[in-house]
Order: sequence, then structure tokens, then C-alpha cells
Amino acid sequence: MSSPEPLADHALSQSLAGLPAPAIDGAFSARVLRKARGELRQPGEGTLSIRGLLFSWETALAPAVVLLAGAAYTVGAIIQLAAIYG
Amino acid sequence: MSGAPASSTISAADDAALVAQLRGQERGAFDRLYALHHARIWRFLLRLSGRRDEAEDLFQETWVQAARHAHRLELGSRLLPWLFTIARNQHRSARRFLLFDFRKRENLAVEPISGPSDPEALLLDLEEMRALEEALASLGDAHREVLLLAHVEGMASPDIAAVLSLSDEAVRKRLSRARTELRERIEAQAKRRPVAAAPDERVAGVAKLRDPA
Repeated sequence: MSSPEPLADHALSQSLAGLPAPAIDGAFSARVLRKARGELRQPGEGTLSIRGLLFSWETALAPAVVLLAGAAYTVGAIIQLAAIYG
Repeated sequence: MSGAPASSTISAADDAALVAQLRGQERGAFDRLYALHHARIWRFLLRLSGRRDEAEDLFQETWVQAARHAHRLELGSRLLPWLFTIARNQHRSARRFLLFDFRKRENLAVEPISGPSDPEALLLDLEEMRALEEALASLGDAHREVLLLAHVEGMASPDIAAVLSLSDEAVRKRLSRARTELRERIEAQAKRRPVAAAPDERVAGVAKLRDPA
């Protein structure tokens, strides 16, 4: 803290800082790191997000999903136009 | 223990370099982040939750969340406050969820953590340490977390403010109230154990805490 502390606060601070740090189990720590690594986004992986609807979906297939949606929309539009003018 | 590690031991420049690597999804960047900070996050969660099993769940979820969002870090982000914020949010979410789980509700009580057979710890006064552990564990989450961040983790007030989503002034006030409450708890414990505590020189340190200058 930037402001000078009263003596009792200083003693309290020292006592708290002196508490022993319970060690983490090495095997557990390694497991956590492995699992976390699996959640890292890979280069090229995309994100689909519609923020207004609180929707977020992270997937490596995001570009493909967007392309498919666009293709489906185009095909739908062509069918509609064909129905009208065909 | 190696003392309260100051948050300044890792410079802003180191942070900036690592943030850039994490944003760029560079190989090994996340491992470096983990190696630098996992011990402190573990200690924080263990003392905050007061239970090893719960701390393990929270610790794992904290790093999973960190991995999921690492590529979205903003330039200039401070990594340690960011990780503490995730850890604290995990703890708060777990507590909220547990309030609705009647089977687990009884487990909400925090138990004092018994430290390892750390040679340095043996140098500390055992009675004082035990009194302090019990008093700390008996505090509410809000007071315990601000004390842990300030005094155990040695974080500066602006960083604590960022973690707790409070103003600098609010952090100072909360810290002051937390210290007062901690001293009162220590005093109350000492009164409950007058024979063991009062005449023993080993509690001199705690007596100092009970007597605000």
C-alpha cells in the first residue's frame, strides 16, 4: 500500500506475509496445465458471436459454418426467385 | 515461505511481451504464463476457499478460462491481476452455486489450511500462525480476499482495485475494515484460550496485532 501504515497494521501485514504457502501437488498441476492447453485457441480457429443475443460459440469450423450459412441463404433466395419468376 | 512476493517482481515490460505472445497464440506462451503465476493463484484460491478439494476445482477452472480467453487479452493488460480476477470470479460463482445446493451447504464453512513442513515456516511462531490462520479463515469472503491480495500476495492498491472491481479508495476502506475485523477475531480467540495464550511469549506477535498503535 502506498500510504504509511500504523505499527499494528505493519505487524499484521508481516504476519500474513509470513504464513506458509501450501504447496500444490505436482501431478495435479501438470494435469491442469495439460487440460488448459487443450482449451487454447489454435491459430486460424474462429469465433461465432452474436453479442446482442448473448451467444458465443468458438469453433475451428467457424469459417465453414459462415460459408454454409451464406450458401444456404443464396440457394433459398434462388428458389424463391425461381418460384416468383419461373 | 518466500515472503510476500511483490507484484512488481514481474515487470510491465515482461507482461507486455507475454501478452503479445498470448495474443499471437505463440507456442509455449501459455506454459510460460502458467509457470510464472500458478503457485500464487493456487495459494490464493486455497486460502480463499479454505478447502483443498474446492481449491483444486477452482484452480483448474481458472486456468481453463485463462486458456480460452488468452488470445483476447488487450495490449497493456497486467497478467497477474487478470488471473486473480478470473480466480476470484470462479470462487464467487462457486459460492453462489453452492448456496442453492443444500447437500453441500454445510461445507461452506472455511477450514484453516495447515501448511506444509516448510523449513522456513518452522521459524515462525506456531501459536501465532495458528491464531492468524483461524482468524483469517473465519472472515467473510470480501475481507479475506482483500487481505490475501494486499498482504499475502503483496499487490498494490490499484491492482487490487482492478481485481475486485472497486475504486482505489474503496479498496483502502475495505482493507482497513478487514484488518480491524481480523484483529478483533484474533483477540476473541486469545480470550477463549487464556491459559494457553496470555502468559506464553510465543503469542507476543499476536498481542502486538491486538494492540493497534
